[in-house]
Amino acid sequence: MKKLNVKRTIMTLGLCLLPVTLLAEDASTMSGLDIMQMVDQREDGEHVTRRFKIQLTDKSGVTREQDTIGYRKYIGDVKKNILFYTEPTNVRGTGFLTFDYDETSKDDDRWLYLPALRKVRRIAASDRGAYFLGTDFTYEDISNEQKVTLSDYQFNATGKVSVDGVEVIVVEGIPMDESVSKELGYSRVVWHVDPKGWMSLLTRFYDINGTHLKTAKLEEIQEIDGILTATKIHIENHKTLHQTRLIFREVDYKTPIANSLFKQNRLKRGL
Amino acid sequence: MQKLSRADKSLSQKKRRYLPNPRVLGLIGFGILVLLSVANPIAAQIGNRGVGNRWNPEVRGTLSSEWAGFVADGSTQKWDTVLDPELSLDLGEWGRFTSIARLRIDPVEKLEPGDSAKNSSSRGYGNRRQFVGDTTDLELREFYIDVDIGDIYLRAGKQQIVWGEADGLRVLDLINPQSFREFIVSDVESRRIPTWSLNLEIPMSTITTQIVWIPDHTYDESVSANSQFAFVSPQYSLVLPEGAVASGAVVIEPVNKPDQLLSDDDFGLRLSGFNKGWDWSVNYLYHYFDQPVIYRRIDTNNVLRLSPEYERTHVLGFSGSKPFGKVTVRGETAFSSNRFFNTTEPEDNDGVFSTGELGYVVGLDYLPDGETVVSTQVFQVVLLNPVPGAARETVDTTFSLRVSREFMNDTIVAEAQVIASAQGEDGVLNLDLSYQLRSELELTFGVDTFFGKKEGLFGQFEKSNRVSAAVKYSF
Repeated sequence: MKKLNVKRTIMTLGLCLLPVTLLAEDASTMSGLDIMQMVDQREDGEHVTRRFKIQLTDKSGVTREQDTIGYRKYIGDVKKNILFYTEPTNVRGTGFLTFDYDETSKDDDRWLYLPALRKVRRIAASDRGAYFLGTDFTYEDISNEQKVTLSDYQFNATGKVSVDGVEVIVVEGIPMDESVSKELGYSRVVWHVDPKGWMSLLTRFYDINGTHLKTAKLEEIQEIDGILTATKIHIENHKTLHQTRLIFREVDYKTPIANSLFKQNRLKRGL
Repeated sequence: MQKLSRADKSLSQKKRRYLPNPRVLGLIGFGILVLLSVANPIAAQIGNRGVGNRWNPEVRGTLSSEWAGFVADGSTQKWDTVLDPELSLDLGEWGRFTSIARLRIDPVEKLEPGDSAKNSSSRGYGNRRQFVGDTTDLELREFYIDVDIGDIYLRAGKQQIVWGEADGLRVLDLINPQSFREFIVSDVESRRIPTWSLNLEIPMSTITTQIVWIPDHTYDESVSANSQFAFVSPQYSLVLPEGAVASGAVVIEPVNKPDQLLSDDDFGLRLSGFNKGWDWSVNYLYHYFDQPVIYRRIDTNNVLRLSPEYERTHVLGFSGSKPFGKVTVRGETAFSSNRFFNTTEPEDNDGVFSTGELGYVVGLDYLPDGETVVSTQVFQVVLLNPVPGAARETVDTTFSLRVSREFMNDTIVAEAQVIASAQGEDGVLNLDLSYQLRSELELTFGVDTFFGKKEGLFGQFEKSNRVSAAVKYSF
């Protein structure tokens, strides 16, 4: 019998009810925390399978492309992700497994499989601000999937602006303390949240010195299996002028995923 | 003292009457691989026409060329060109088939000079390299199918099976033998010799049971005495007692190599799991140690006869790893019930001494930021009893330190590693710089420097210090 994830069920029910409540009041009266709670509670499916292409473009315009297939599933209070690189040959077989725990004080667990070593290596996960496998996304960015760890920031809604013709709410987040700031690598993050889908269409990241570091933009959003999904995400690092674009395809929230996929041994086998 | 290098001990194999010619088998396998490689574009075309592409064949691989020159005089140590084609087929509900071959051409002939490699007896049935002249060899590196039966996973065929947590130093990683063509300065993937094996993994609740059967009687591949990386230190060569035989006549017998199916096969069992943040495994391996020991006897004609033989041992070990903040602690240990060593004690009847051995490694990986890894290991081997009259120490300690850093979104990786022996006061320093010019093109530059006492494991190769440059193309 399938176990009922009580926490997620409550969150989903809350999401169903909240829009009704929100229609009654102006979203602009919401606090920054209220808005980011809506972002955090956005439905993203019990599980998902997707392929995505990673385009890495350096400052001289040279682009490298990598293809991956990834699976994500909530199992109990743990969000489990497994990712396999399928192309090109030089990275094919590289696998990455993460367990993200609800408990904020508990570090995630991460494993990396490098085909050249034929070994699954345990990786320390305390450095959430480290860049993910050559991209301009940090491990935290990748792990959160356009959501936010609410306990990391103090939020402040600063007004409304238009992004590509869409009216969005601007929310500024300041890390709770210096250690969080150092861990994430940011001193400030500014989200531009579309209240219709509770996604940040444009996000600006500022490094620990306050310099504008990166800008992330959702270039394409689709409704797939009834769930709003960012299918094209672009991020540019303004310091290095390096850019990363993630292009998702074959996104599937319906086909069941076996729990046994999220095992360390599976990394060695690939797909 | 009379001294014989390890390579001199590698002698002709016993004839195997019940087995077909492995050379023919290897060539057939390679031929199939080439044919299937050619079939890929044809299959793709058929698929495009809508007829179907049932097996979804994929052909990929790497082509690399590496030059290495002696630090001492700049002359060339090797200039090899290596092609590693890979074919994989989707077998539907039967699983997936993978085959990886290797074609290597090295006209310099300093690593495996002449026909020395052809005469090596260390490889088992179906695992021998095929040679074209003295400079070219072909090898079927891997050839296996992956099958899922429910949650049970099976990989059958020629493969690599890796145990343990250590980097570069072997404690539990004992299943596949090694090639000593370039000692430890080539990459791990190339050093490990894949073997014909059956690998079964059965998940049960939170524990996975792995059962391994290795009917392939392939052992460490040493090199001949005139090779660049031949062992010359007395500690790693056979040394006979002074005046071992009055006549001075010595006969080296053929290697007594295990060749019986089942009774001479290696078997392994591993339980692994993840509990309270710890990755752990308990391992057991019943195997032949991968290097022969030399028995000696004086016959009735006062001739000293040396008989190389492989000896069996039981290995019981465990491994574990867990991160603590920015540091990951990892370790492994293995106890071998019997390890066999040659002794120079004249009173010893057969010149072989056996004792238990405990090996362990503890490593710390520190990630100060996302781009840098500082990794250190302490590796120790303790013999339960000292080997009489041998240069071998009872406790052998080795340290390693590796610092690597990625630059420019991981397109440039710089790495420095030093491995040093506490007893021998010797070691090796490796420096590597790689640049991913494009997705399919990588350039690598390296320096491998041995230093310290010439009797040491590493110091004996000081004459082989080298710089290298390589280009690798992936397709």
